Amino acid sequence: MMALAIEMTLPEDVLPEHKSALAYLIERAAAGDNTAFEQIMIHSQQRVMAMSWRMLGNEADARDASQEVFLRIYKYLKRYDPNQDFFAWVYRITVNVCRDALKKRRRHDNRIVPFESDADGGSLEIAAAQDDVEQTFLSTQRRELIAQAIGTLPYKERASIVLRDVEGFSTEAVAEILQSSATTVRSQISSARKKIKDYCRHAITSGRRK
Amino acid sequence: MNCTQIEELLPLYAGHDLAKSREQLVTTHLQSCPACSFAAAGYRDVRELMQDFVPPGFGDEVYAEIRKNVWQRIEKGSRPRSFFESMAVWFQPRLAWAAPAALLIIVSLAGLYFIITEFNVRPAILVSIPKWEVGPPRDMRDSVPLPAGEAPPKQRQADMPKRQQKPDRMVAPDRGNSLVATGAQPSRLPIRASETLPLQSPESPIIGTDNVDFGAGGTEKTLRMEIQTKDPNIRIIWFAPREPKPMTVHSKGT
Repeated sequence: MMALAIEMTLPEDVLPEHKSALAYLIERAAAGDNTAFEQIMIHSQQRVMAMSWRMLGNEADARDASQEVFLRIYKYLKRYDPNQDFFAWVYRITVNVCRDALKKRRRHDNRIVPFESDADGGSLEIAAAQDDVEQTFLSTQRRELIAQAIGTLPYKERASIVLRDVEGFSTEAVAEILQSSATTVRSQISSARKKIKDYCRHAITSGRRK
Repeated sequence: MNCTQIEELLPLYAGHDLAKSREQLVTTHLQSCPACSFAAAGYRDVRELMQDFVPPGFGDEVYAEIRKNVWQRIEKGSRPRSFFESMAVWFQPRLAWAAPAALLIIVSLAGLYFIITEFNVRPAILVSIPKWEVGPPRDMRDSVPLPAGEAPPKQRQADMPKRQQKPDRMVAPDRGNSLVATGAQPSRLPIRASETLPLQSPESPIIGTDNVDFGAGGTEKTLRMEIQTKDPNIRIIWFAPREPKPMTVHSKGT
């Protein structure tokens, strides 16, 4: 039953002109071809894992969520509409799985989900006085800072801002993924940007004081 | 637009999420307002900072393990569940709540049905005994025997009880007449209470609680009571001795 993780080269003559390789894989996987589904997982695993990590904040939860995402894709692949963007559909499943995970983790309040820190201590203080010599260190701190800022956002705002500003979806696409309206998504994005700006300004200011 | 209104639009302006007309208005305002320009620069920095929000690099072994676990779970889900696995499902958190909730709903519905049914059945035997009617009905006793060959006068429709005006309608028997003491034909079970009355001919002994002659020998005084229940097909007939037999010395068993 274990499918092999082999890169499957698609014969060009097999594919109809109007179908991409991904659509062909999806069609095959929906028909029960496990090798095709393995290829779909390989093609989408980085997006799913990255999105899960951005939503949940740590690798362990992101792994569990990714597994659940692929299980749901396997289960509901027959319901997938080929006219829809496949990765938007995958992102929708990912967001829903992460929402469920957040609910399970914090039933009372999902606002503050601490992101795991790459550096020891996880200090949020930006070394504003330092020169740009230690670019790597500074980059790590910037990543921690934005991670902590996003971690303070409510779930919907977090999903909106990540999909819009990090994943690069349009507002309408984000609305479709979140099954919401574009107006609502704009409002969530606006609120999220303002909160992140305030959080970062506060962190930088307190860092300078110290 | 003043600075307050512009400030509300700046988060969306930074991401080019505004309509073209509004974006143009904000751009024009920022050219002449240093404070708003400074705030807009802050939002642009946030946008740039968001690009640093990248997850740590996950190795291939991480992805391989995820795929492996996915296939294991798919394989596990495709095979039939064992008995213990099926039982374990009932103790999952959701079902643990769902089962008592379903049980509560079922009990509530059953209780509601019982209450409705109970209130619909009126206590016909005990409550609906308004009176004892001894002997023929009053209208029968008061009437004069008709001459031979003359038909009895037709009862006016207005004088008839309301339910008798519509014979095709299913009605419950008259509970006012449902309890009759009679002694003429103990073996006959009249279908309706009203039918019991004509059976008591004027020649039959006047039925009274003191003078009831029943039994094969005609020596035993018995009281017969007919009780019409709500169901017209069920009638309770009760025979009781008028007076209890006096206890004798031999009946004590001593």
